[in-house]
Amino acid sequence: MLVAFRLYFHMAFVNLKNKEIQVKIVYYGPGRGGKTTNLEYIYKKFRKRINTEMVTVKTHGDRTLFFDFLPFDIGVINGYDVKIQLYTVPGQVKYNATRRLVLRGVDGIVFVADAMAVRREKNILSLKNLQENLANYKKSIFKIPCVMQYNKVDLVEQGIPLLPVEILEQDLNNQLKRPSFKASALNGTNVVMTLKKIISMTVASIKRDLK
Amino acid sequence: MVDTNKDDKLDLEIAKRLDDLFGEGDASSDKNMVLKADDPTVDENKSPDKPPAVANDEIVELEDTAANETDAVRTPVDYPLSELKNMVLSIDWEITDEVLSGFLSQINNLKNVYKNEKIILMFLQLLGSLGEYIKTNRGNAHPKTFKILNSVFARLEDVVLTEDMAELEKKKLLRAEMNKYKELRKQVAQKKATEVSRRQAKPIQKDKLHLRAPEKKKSVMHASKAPMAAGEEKPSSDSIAAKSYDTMAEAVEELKQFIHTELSALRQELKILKKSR
Repeated sequence: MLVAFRLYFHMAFVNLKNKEIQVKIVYYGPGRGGKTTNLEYIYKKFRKRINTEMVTVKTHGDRTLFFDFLPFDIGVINGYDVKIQLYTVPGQVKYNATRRLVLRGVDGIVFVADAMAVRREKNILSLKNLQENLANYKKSIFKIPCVMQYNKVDLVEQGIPLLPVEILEQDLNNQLKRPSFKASALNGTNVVMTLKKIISMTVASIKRDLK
Repeated sequence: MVDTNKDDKLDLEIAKRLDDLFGEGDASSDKNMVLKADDPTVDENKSPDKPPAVANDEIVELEDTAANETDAVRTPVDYPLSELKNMVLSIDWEITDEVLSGFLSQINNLKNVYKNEKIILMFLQLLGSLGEYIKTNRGNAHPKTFKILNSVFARLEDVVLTEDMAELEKKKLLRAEMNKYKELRKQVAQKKATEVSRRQAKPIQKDKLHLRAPEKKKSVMHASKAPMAAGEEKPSSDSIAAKSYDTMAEAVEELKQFIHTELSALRQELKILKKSR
């Protein structure tokens, strides 16, 4: 008897026997944009409540080599035990194969854009790269639950030129029209808002697909 | 028809659960910084089979428009290194022929601009050598190369932008970067020698360990030029499995190469530390 399957072959993992749903959310974006910092903040702030361990593989230059992984359980919803798995991808361009691999079976995306003015092109390239890598799994960036996070807004206090929100929205969210947040992963500003939003969007999307 | 009552209940239940988990301890949410909180994918009339409101390739148009406007937010136009700076940042992210050719041509232009400034010329020469090395080796270049490239450029910026910097200070900065470059060359040579000796020592085992990745390697290191998918189709599980295998093989190969170079770098650092003691 079939008790576990991935919706449409490659979506959320649903175990009918154990009444369990695994939701995979990937933090994507350009290198040094703050993806790992988002997960680190969540882990440090809520580790006691979410009762989990974060797995992270870094180089000695402090860059994500393979991925970061933070799993936690949000309890039973609609009769299903919902388990959330947060992943980050390495941002450096040369690890595209790794990024593609981490995207396999993804249910929701947080796109962490770097709000620094000099990183404008990198944000756009990274979003395009996400679109291509999703297409590899026959997924559309226009359909998958996604939240945009414009990170590093705290740098304005140090006089570092930042991209105006209008430019970020125009560059990255004009067509997608996804929920978006200005954030500072380092200080934790809107890290949780982003997380809550992507979880509720993704769970709702899985429920729609289950119908 | 969608049962909106049930959906509302689900939303409330999820929100409550997330508040329980992340609510009280989160004093850092800033609602003034929420730009758009609605989820456009939650559309009552939407079914999974319904095509998206916008075509996939629209994002490419978006990118082109944005690229044309980039100058508006960059560093000032009269800053002579601004274009080179963009190229350096691009190399950190995207190693393509276009970027590298642009980088090397910028170096040549600047060599003319600064032909009477010996120290700046030396900095440019260093950057040029690093650029040529990256052009040849692409993503297989030693991981430290990119760090050194950024560091050399940052020091060059210091020298160019600090008007009253003493010659001695400039020389000091140059010497430090030269040393890093020399160290990198040593490590690259060492890495090559190790690879050659490993190949000579285990010619048979190599075939056994071969993962089909090397011939694919080049395509991984370049930006994908594959056309966008026109829309979502029902996927073939075979094709996805085959792609996943290839992706896994490429990822393993990336990982192996990275670990190897990292270990070499660490060994080298240990040697230097021992010597300095």
